[in-house]
Amino acid sequence: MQTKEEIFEMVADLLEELFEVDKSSITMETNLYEDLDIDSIDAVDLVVKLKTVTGKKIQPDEFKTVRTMENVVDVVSGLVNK
Amino acid sequence: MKTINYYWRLFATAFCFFVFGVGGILIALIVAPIIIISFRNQNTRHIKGKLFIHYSFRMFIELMRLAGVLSYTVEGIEKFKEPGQLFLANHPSLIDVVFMIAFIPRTDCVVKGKLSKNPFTYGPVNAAGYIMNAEPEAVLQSSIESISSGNSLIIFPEGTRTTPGEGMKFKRGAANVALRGEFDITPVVIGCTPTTLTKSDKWYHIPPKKLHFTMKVKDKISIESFLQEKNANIAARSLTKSLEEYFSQEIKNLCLN
Repeated sequence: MQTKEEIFEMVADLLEELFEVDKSSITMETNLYEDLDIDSIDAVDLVVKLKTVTGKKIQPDEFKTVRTMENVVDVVSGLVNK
Repeated sequence: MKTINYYWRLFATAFCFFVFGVGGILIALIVAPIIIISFRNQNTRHIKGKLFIHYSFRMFIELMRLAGVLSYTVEGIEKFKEPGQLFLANHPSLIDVVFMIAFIPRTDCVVKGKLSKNPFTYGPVNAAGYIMNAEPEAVLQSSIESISSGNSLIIFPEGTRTTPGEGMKFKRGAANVALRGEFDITPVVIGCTPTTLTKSDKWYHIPPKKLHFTMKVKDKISIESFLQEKNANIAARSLTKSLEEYFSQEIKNLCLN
C-alpha cells in the first residue's frame, strides 16, 4: 500500500529526471501540459517509465484524460493499490 | 479606390480555388482509381500518387503565376533533389504546403484527419498516402519509416499557420522525428508578402497588391551534437529551442532583404 504522498514524490522525481523540470514547483494542481510544457510524445515516455517503476500495466486510454498531477497520482494509486 | 488589378486578382483567386477543388474531385474520381488498377502494391501506388500530386501542384503554381495572383522565387532549388530528407519550414500561409510539394519530388507530410473526409482533399490525400495525424507514437513511427523509405517529409514545426507578429513557438514533434530517426534537417525559410491566407483570412481577403512568395532552401543542420544527450526528451527540447532561434533569425534576415 502506497500513500498518495509517496506516489506524488515518485512521479515528481520521474518528471524531474525525464524532463528536467523544477521539482519544487510541482504541486497536486500542476497541469502537466500547460505548466510543465509536456507534449503528447513526452506523455508516452512518461507512461512507459511509470510502467517500469510500478511494474503495472497502464492503459494508454486511461492516461489520455490525465491533465494534472492529481490525475496522475490517482491513476497510479488506482493501479498499485488494486 | 480599388483598382482593376484588384478585381482581376480577386476573380483569379476565386478561379484558382475553384480549379483546386475540381482538381481534388477529379483526382478522387479518375486518377486514384487508375492508380489502383495499374499498380498492385500499396507502396508503389502511394509513390505514384505522391508524384502525381507533385506535378499537379507544380502546374497549379504556374497557373497562379500566369493568372497574376502571385510571383515567386526559389533559392537553393537543387537541395530539394536528394531523396529521404527531413524538411522543416515556417508556415506563414495556406499555400506553403502547395509550394513545398510542388518543388520536392517525393513528398510526404502529416495531414489533419479531417482532410481525408473533405470531398476536395479526400482523393489527393488518399492517393498519396500521406500520414494521418493520430496517435503521437504512430505518427512518429510512420514519419521515420517514410523518410527511411526514400520519401522527403515536410514538417511545419509551428504545428499551424503563423500568427503574424507573434514569436516563434515550435512543437517538439519535428525534433523528435529528427533525433529518433537520426536525420539531419534541411530548413526551408518561407516568406510571403504581403501576408495572406493566414489562419484568420478567408479566401476573398486578398492582399492589396500581388503576392510575392519566397522560398529559401538552406544548408542542412546537423543533429550530431544533440544526439550526444542520452535523455531523448531533453535532447528534443534543446533541438527545438535551437531551431526556433535559427528560424527567427532567418526570417528576420529575409525581411531585411
